[in-house]
Amino acid sequence: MSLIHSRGGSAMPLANERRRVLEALGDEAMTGPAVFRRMRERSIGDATGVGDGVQAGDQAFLYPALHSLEADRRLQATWLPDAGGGSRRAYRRRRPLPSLPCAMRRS
Amino acid sequence: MTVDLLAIPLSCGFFALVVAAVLLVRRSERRLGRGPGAPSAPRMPGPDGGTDPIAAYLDRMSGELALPAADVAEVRAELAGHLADSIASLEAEGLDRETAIREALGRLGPAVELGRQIRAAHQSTRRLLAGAGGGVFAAGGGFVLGYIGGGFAVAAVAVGIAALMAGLAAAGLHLPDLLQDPHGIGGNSILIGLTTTIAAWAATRYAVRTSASVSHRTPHSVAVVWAAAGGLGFGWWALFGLHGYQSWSTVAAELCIPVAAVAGAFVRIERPLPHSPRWAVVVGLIAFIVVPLVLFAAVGSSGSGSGSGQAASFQASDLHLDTVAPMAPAQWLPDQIMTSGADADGASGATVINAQRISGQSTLPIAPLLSNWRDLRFESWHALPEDEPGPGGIDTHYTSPFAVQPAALNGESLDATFDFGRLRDAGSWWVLLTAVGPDGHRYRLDEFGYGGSSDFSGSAWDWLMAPQ
Repeated sequence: MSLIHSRGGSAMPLANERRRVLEALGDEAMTGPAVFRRMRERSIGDATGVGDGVQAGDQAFLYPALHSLEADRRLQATWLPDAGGGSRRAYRRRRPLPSLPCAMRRS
Repeated sequence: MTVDLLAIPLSCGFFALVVAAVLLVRRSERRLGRGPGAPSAPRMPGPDGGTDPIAAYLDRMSGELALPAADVAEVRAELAGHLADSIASLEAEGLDRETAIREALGRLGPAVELGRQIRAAHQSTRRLLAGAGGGVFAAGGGFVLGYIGGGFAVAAVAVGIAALMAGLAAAGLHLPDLLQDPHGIGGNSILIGLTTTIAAWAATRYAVRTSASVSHRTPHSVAVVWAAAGGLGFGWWALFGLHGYQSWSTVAAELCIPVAAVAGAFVRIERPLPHSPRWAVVVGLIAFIVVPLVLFAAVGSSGSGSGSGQAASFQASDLHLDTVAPMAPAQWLPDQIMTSGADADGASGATVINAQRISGQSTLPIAPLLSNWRDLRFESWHALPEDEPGPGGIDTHYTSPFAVQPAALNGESLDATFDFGRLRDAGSWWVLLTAVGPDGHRYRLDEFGYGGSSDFSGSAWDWLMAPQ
């Protein structure tokens, strides 16, 4: 199943991709390929029996989504060492700021 | 000794702001200056052979990024790692390497479109606003540092030129006085203008590179905005904001300020800012504080040495006042008229000239004396410079006054106001009261007149618009 449902414009697919990325990312740091694998697993789980192949252009919005979420300070990116001696960029969700005591009382 | 308590926290806050600006600039320099080949750049995982299609794809993608060097390096490294993962996993599924590469690249989509999307993701409005704010902040720090460094550099050059001039003078070679600055204050204005020029250059340069880094843009793409802002801001300041002594040389130095601001935004803007060693910064800051204190202490302890001049005796003929007009005959002017002058109220630089009728030790009403005279006026003539030896007096190179004001009867005296501070070339002047006598000729009514000197005081715009 293709992760991109609309190829006409870029705003809508990017917004969808950002939502999927945020849903796929847990508390642990994940590289781009790992995020994509998690998204793919979730997509297959949601639409059982629709197919599981990755098609051309399926990853076109993955990195724009990751980088725009980082620019919006929704994600935090760090370079982590990998097994081959290089480094890989990994993303994790930013922790929300702790609530203020007054806001907690009001809630 | 009184110490303003507010000055201490203000000084500390100012110093903290400068340090914060420097730290911001240094951080920005790391982002702008770090390229893919730099040691601190993340290492690109090599796809072990057959890199041509991958490198070509990454090159096409990078061509659309228009991001700072460090960001381009990071994006390339990240995508190279992603492609290496994809290719390895596709090969594990049984695809040959060439097909696996083609498939992995196809999944990422067209390289140009991917580059545009990633650039748009980086260059958000939020980062643009942050870049603008960071640029303004860095400009402030750059201006202060540029002013300190420029002050030292300009002072060093000035000392060198002074030493050279002294050496040439000792060797008998006298250079022309291009500054034409008899009171020595023009040199000071030029030093301030040149120091501010260096500060403006540093300010826009810091602003461009910092805002480019913070907003994730290339310095070239934001340089136009900062050049326009710097040129307009510093141009306004140079034309209207800097007040003080003005001459052609100081105005030229001040007009260099906006030019330097624009040049600072464009000239070799992609090159990193020069890195000053920490010890040089510390020594410079200490010298910036210590040297003025030592000079201030030295000047304070030396006391006032002025006012020791000797009164020289001279005749009226030594002043060449007949160049203006002959002295009035005694039958038409039985009493003496004495002209004096005083600065006008406020900081306008104007001089009020006042003529009174003197008889012995007393002042008499001047009006009855004027029945023989018409067209009374004060004439301002160029005079010999005050610092030249001799009694001074009218500069005989001139055949007409450079300013004339009608003498207005004001109570028991005749008054006129001359705005010498707004005349470009007033310099040393001599004012005399003249009038047309019964025979139709113009005569001088006061024997000695009143002399002084004035320097142009105002903004560069005032000087440009002022009459000669």
